[in-house]
Amino acid sequence: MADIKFDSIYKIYDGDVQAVTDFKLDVEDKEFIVFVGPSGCGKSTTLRMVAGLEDISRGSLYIGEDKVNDVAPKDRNIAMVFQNYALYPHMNVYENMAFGLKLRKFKKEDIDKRVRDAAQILGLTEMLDRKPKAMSGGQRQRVALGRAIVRNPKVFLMDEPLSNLDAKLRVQMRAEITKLHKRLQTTTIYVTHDQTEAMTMATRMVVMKDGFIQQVGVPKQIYDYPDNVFVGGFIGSPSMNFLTGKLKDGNFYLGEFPVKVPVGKLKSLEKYNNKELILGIRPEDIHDEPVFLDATENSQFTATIDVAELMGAESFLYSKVEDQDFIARVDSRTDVTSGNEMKLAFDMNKCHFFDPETEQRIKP
Amino acid sequence: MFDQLKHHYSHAISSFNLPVERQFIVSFPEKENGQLILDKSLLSDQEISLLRALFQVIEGHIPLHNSQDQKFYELLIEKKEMNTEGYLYFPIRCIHFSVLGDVGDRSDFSEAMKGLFPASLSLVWKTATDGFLLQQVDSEMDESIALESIVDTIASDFYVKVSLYVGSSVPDTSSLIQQYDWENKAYSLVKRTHPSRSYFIEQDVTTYLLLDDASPDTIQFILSMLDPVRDDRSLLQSVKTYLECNMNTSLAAKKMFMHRNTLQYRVDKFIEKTSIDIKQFPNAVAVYFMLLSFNSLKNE
Repeated sequence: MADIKFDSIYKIYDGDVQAVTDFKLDVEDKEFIVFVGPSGCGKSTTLRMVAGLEDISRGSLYIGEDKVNDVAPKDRNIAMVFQNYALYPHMNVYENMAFGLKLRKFKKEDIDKRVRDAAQILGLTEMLDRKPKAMSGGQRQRVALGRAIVRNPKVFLMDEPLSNLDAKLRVQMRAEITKLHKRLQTTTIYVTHDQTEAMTMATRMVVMKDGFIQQVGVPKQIYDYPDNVFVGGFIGSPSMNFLTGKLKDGNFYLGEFPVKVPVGKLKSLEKYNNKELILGIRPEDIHDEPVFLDATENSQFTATIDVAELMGAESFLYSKVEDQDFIARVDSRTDVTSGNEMKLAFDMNKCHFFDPETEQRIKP
Repeated sequence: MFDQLKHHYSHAISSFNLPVERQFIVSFPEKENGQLILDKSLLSDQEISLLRALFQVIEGHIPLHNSQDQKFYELLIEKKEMNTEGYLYFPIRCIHFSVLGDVGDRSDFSEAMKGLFPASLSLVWKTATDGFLLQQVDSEMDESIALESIVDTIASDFYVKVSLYVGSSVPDTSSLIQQYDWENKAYSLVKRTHPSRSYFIEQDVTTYLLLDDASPDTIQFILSMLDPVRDDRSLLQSVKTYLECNMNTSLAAKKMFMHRNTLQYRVDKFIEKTSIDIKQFPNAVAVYFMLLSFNSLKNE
């Protein structure tokens, strides 16, 4: 097990294309850190630099005490699980799991012990004689994990390992990987574009965009206090609502409609008086409950619901306020259909303000 | 270090035109295209010892072949005339590969590759880092393992980057020799111009060869037809898969783990937004070209 230090890492391809820029991060021992971001944000490239499958253009990478920039991939003591995992079709589960160890010339008894231990952890003991063809997608994915576990590496690197699974299996497997990490306590870097996966699995998340780190933090901190508009929009489903307006005399004006800004938030907004601002508010912080509406007369408004989506326990309401789109997430006991008018209110204590130019959150 | 060494040894080349026995390859596994091929006859003994001590070096010898591999080596590389009856079974195709990094025990690598490409008759190394598999092709052949999965599996087991080119199947020995030469040449060209691509299939190298000759302005001009959908990556990926599956919606949907109707909807959306009816073969070809140039532009 090991900690990992990214000391201002860059990946620059020929032609000056910067895929990763000034990546600074300390991953602690036993941590399960998730790199999350849209396609092309540099998360897989960063992971592949840790693996040694991509060279580091600038900066230093440490695994434990050792600088590994020039260490051959096979000597880094890492194990990888990729999205596009394949098992050797001519080998059974046991042989598939043992193959990596055989390549490293482990003794037969040692291989046997490691394979059987990993199989037991993954619930594969009964399937060791089976060929991949006779297994389900989830079982095969467990074997792919087993192939990495048997190596007992310092670090696990997982690149979207669940992306090829169907939605139901993905949910199941992500819980299994989390349990596995709790049991093995191996430092893990996990790459995904799926923010739900990141939120549910990470001890800490690294949100990336265009090769830059946008924010690092525990999932709740990132969800509750996004550093900028991108993070606010990317993390959370449905996405955070962003509404542009003007701050004037303690109110945030959405067009002609004023919303009272809590005194506690006004202090940090002093220099924005009479200027444009972006208000960010999560769908669940827009309420329709009568008790809430009674207590927040200064931030309520009447909206025509364009679309109401019943999701089961909750409903997503799509509407507009002063010609700007928003989504509210309300209790599905609210009986509302498309075209209805209803009163809603912002929970202004939960909202955030962002600078319209830098798109950074204005911090108190 | 790589660049300094390259500068120091001005004769360093990046292809394998040098006779194998004179190749002295200094490998930088963590670097893209990270191999310097030096001419051993131009190096002093002292230099050779120093390079061996400081770097990962692959010396230009052909890894050992068994008798069957040796026959195929003689047939396809040395162009020796021979009777192939009894040990070549047609149709057959070549899977060309190139490895960056040290695979370690080559018999393990051979076992892995043959396992991932079932019905392979032989794995032949033509240089210390490049080679090919001869795979017997039959209608029952299971192509369910995607090439990117093979590349990733080899990477996770051998910690090397491998690139693949799956050639076309041929019916007899003379076609095999001819096809091998063409593919070998084409692969060495596209490998150089598209180092970040980890695999090529059949005739898509032809497309890449053509695209490599088109000017950036021409490519941008052609690509302007995709402007209405240019930022919709999932739509473009869906259309590419649809075209690669011979415009078979069910097959493409299965490959993308999505419902057939979803894919159908995306294809229709593409047609509506671009006004290019990709259900017509000539349009499909044109769009496929566009998507490949779009991807190669992105990669560069």
